Amino acid sequence: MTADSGTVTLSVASREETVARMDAAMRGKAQGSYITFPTVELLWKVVTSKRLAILRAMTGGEIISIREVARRVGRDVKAVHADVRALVNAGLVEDTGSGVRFGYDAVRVEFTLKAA
Amino acid sequence: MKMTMSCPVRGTALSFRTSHAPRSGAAPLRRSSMAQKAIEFRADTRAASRGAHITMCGVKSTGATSTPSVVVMARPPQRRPRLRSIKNAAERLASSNASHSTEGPRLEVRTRLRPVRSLSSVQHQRDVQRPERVRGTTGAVRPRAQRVGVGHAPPAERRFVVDEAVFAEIRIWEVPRPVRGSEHTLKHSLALIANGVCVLRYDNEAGKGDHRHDADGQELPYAFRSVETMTEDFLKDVDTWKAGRSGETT
Repeated sequence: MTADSGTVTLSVASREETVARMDAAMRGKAQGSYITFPTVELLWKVVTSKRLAILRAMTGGEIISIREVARRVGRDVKAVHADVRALVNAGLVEDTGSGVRFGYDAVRVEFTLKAA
Repeated sequence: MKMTMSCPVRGTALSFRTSHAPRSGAAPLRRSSMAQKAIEFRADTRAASRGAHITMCGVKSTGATSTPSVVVMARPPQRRPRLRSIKNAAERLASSNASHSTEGPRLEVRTRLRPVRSLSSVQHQRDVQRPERVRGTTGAVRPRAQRVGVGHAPPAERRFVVDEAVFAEIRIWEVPRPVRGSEHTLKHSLALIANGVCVLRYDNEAGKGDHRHDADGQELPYAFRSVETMTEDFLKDVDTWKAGRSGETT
């Protein structure tokens, strides 16, 4: 899938920015793939360092079993299962029924901290 | 176009085909009676499979020459073993249905049990990328250049995480001609998924026009004005849902 290959950007965006991006995309401006989070805190809560390692191990878009994911990251299946479950529930990873899939080649994390 | 426009959750698609073949000389089946059947079937299957969550139930017709079929998509209440029980229940129902009713559309099971994947899956991509048949003609394949939008990655696609196990997904396609039932040339699907279950959805699947499914599973028409207002409305509903949920837990 064209939109799936390539880089996905995990970013922090307000609702207004999300709507604006939708609008720009409808007018034909390529926006790239984004998965947005309302806050930085939630981003790190969902994408922990261990889960980031899982995402890295899953890049490429093929459907693989959780057992295979566990093998790739070198952790036990049970813990990896819980992490993958969390990623599926947050919409980052897709559960295809015959395995899990993360359809991007690379992950970029992007956010800006401004003075309060 | 395949009517697998469902929530991006795992499920099972069961297809049912009417036993009337168009060439038998019988009057062509009316879509409305098929739709009625589909609704009855939805309730029956749900009851017979003990609480299966029916994610979609509708009439599908792929062209002027083919017989419309009822498509039911169901998600088992629990895990895998139950998939089969839904299929069995549906088969039982369909066979009793076929023997009882003498008039009106009869349902015949085409036993297919296959996982329903999310819109972004490879499978779906393959489905929608197959040359689409033009409705109302002899089934000529529309030239590739004219098939804009659907069949390709949605031009506007946004996924956003709402909470730890809650995310929303917006997908909008530009289509060459309005989807049946809609007055604009967009095909859209906006869904809110909590713990893998679709709790809110706006879409305009063929024949139904713009509508939304709310958390109680009700389907309400939606007056489409623009992508912007729709996105705003959807996000407002997401907020309402979120507020309602946090109210429950505290």
